[in-house]
Amino acid sequence: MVTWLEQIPGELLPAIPLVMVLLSLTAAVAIFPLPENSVKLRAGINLTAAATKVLLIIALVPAVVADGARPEFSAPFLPGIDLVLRVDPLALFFAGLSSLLWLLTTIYALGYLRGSKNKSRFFGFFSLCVTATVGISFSGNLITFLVFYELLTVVTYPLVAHWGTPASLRAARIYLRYALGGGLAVLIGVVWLSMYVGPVDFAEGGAEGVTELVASNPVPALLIFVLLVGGLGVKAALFPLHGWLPLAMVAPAPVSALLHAVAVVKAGVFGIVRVLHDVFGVEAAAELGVLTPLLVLAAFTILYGSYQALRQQEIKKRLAYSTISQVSYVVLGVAMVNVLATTGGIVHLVHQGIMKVTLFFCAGLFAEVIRAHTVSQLRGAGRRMPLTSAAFTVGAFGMIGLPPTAGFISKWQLGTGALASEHPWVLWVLVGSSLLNAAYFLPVVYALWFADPEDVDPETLASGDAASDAADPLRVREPKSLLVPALITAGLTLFVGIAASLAFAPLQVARFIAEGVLG
Amino acid sequence: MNAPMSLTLFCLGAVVLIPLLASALSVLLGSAARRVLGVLTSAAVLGLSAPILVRVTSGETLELALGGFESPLGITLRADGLSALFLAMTAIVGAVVSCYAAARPAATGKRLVAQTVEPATVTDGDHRAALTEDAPAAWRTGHAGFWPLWLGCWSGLNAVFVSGDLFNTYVGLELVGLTAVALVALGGREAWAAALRYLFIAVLGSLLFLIGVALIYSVTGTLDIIDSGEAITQLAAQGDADLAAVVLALCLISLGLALKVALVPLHGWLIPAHSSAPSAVSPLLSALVIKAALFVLLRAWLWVAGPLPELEILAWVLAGMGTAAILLGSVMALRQSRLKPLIAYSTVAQVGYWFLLLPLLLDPETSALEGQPGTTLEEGAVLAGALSGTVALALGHGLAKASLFLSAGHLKDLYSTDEITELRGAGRAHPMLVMSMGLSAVGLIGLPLSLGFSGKWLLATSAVAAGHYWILVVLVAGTLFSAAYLLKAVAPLLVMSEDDQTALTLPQAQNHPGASDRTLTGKAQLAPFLLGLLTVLTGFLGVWLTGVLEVGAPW
Repeated sequence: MVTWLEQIPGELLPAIPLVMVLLSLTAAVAIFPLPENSVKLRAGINLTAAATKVLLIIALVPAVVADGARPEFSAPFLPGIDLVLRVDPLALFFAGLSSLLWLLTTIYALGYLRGSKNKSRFFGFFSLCVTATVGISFSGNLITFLVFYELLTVVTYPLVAHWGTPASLRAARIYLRYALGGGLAVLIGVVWLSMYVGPVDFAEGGAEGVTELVASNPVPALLIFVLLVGGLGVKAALFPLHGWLPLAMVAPAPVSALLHAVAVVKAGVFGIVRVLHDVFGVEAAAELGVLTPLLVLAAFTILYGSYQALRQQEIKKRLAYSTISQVSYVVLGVAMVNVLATTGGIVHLVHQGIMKVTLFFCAGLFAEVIRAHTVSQLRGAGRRMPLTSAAFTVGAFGMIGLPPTAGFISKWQLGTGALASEHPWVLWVLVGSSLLNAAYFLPVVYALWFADPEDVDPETLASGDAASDAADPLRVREPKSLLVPALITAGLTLFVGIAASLAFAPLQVARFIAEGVLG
Repeated sequence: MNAPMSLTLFCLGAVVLIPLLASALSVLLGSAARRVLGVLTSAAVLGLSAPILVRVTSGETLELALGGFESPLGITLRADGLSALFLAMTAIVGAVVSCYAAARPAATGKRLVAQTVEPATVTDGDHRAALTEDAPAAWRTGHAGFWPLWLGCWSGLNAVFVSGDLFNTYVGLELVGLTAVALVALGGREAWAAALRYLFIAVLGSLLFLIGVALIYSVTGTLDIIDSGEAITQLAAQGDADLAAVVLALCLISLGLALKVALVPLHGWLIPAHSSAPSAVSPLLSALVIKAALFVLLRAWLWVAGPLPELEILAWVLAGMGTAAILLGSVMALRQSRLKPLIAYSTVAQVGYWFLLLPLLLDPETSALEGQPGTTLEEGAVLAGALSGTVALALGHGLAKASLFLSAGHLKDLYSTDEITELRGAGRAHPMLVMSMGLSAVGLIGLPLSLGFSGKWLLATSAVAAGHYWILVVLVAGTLFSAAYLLKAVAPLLVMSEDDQTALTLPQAQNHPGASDRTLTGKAQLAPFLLGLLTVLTGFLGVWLTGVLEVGAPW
């Protein structure tokens, strides 16, 4: 296949990943100094950058996945260590998710924050957050990863604290405490590891020298692994390092959506996948005996998160605990070392992102339009906001893992992988978790569609954008910029589930990655 | 690109002489003309430092014998990698702060004026004498005495950095110390006590240093830094008994300089001096003045004394004090309720980082990793890494702390208070200041990207290589603490809305005399922002910095 990549002069090829990172960085730099009232210009910059990035990623997929191109950029950073940005399939997979969801979340956020203050600051940090995420995905070695990982910590702080209320500042402070602690653990691990083996370039099957280190010095290697995965587990909200996540939902809805679906939580999981696959390599990790404990931890986190979600009445909190549970599927998948399960884990990176972003979009819509924050306030909301409720239902079904949604594909892969692995008991974890998922999502769906609405607060009828329909006084019209992204992601949830066998569908790319790693 | 050698050597002398001449000249000028002269001088020093940096980066050590007399007779100016880096950082921070001071004369101090006399006609120095007992007097903001003092201080700093011998280093240090004391005193009545205390410390520190220098001279017979280093190495090789004098000299020098950099437990003077100094002065004191003492300390330990094994106890004592500084400074910073004392304590904590390398200097073997498979460490990497890490931390601290003190001082001037609880929500009106504070916090915590991160990385990797794992623990603790106290300082500014328990009322902002002044005040916020931006952008310079430090390195 002749691709457009081959028409690019060789010396420009390394610039591709750099351009990707600089795209959102430039957007951020351009947005910060904008005056509050230049709404159109800000929206224009945001959407142009986001859309350009999506197009670039789409253009890269065939070249990188099918033709094996690996554009790489490197610049000296510290003695003996370069900043390396490299496009490989896993990087592209994650970057694709982040840029697509950045575009949709930006549209959502533009509508969500209409009329509120400090929009330039918000969108500036929003773009920086995506810069960090893209940097994380394209990082070619552990140091580069660390740089962007810490950048992500710093730039999400103002986003979580955005409303400036004491509660949000507190949540942001706790978030920072967790994230910095985790970042330090990773830093120590990286320092230690690079003393032994140098810059720790990511490579399929393990970084250069790490296998030898595991063979000759298993104890430091084990400690390094624990430091790295433990540090990354903070952002990935692995039990017992998850405490910050339910608090952080005081952030504006688009931030929660971004945090849960693609940015922070996913960065942590993505890092764990990288460490497991491309730093240690699965064989060395198996030799260290860390895979089974990791598997057990992930399985426990899945059940614990689901159980906690069941106990929450507030919608966003329920979603937050659900994230804790769902994200651990990824760890679960990669810790069961076989192609089926690993495919399931990796594809869940994307699937969970799409589904969770849908749910948060809808939760934000419910909160904004009919002021519904708890499950009981959602009673009868299906009649008032049918489209939002439909999108929420699709997302919830996806989380439960009902066909034909994306969630079904993930769970199917994980389940078959569990049976093929040495740990068939994992299947029961999946079954139990799915039952729990159903137990906390189905009542919401029931309340939406089948419960009678409570007495409707007259205020919400008249409020803001939610103009009542003449035909049905209960029916409210959702703001388009909030509704459309939710519908798109709900549609995608169904689409990637139904079309999972298409070339370059997430499942196929994930399988390609898993086969690459496991041979 | 490279300027001719003779021109570069001219620059070497000029970076010392031009600020000195400008300082003398400014005494003759009115306050408006002083501001113009100050900005012009900054531009000149910036321009003169550039060729030196370029030349040294290309691998040459510059040496200029003033008046044609070679050492040991004449005065030798010498610039190696260490000099060039400190010179460049001082030029950047000095120029930015000078522009800030020129844009906001109110930030340069307070002066006492007799009500009957027109403020414009009062010349500095004699206005206190002009006051009679019963004449009504009032404090006015702005003190034109800032310019001659600061330019003199700058000259002293550059003299320390390019000095080739120990006596001129002493002269430079003394000039820096005395002008810095006077700069603190510009802060008005509440700063006078702090300034007096600082004066005693500065003089005592210089005196101890001078005695140490005299001892070294008595042993080696030379004041030249490189010559005396060689002489001491020879003495050590012969197993000479005079080494005891060298050890004593190093003890005195280290003690004197530890006083000047405010190493715990000798830090008491720094808090009142740095926090009560005027807004344009605190950044200079914290970013530059204490760096002069650090610079001399590095010179004395690495260039003069070399790695004498007899210094081991002293090295561990100083490193222990450094560790104590990081812990105590951080804990005290956490307990402050006012912005400027908090930042001053953060300086105390950061000073500790610069002393951690001393035990590494005496034990630069990569013992911990020798014989390990996959080790990629080169010989001598520990010394280079430890020094460049420390220098990166110090330079990064200079940029970040200058930015932080400028922002904090700006807020203090605007609202007449730096109580953190009273400044809650101030970020709404000053997003750029909060942004600068955030950027400098990144640098001070040592998060990537920043020079602070590169420094911690370099120091940590050489510590691990040499088997000194305790440094890693100290660095981690320091990082967590600094994140905690900086968050405490910055987060309340971000408060946007009130809830039941907390009302949100900012103190009345000070009225500005005219509209033109207000725009200048707004523009002045660019100064801390620029420094904050540099804190982060210099994070890319790790490799370059290590390379520059190799020029004229003692190993």
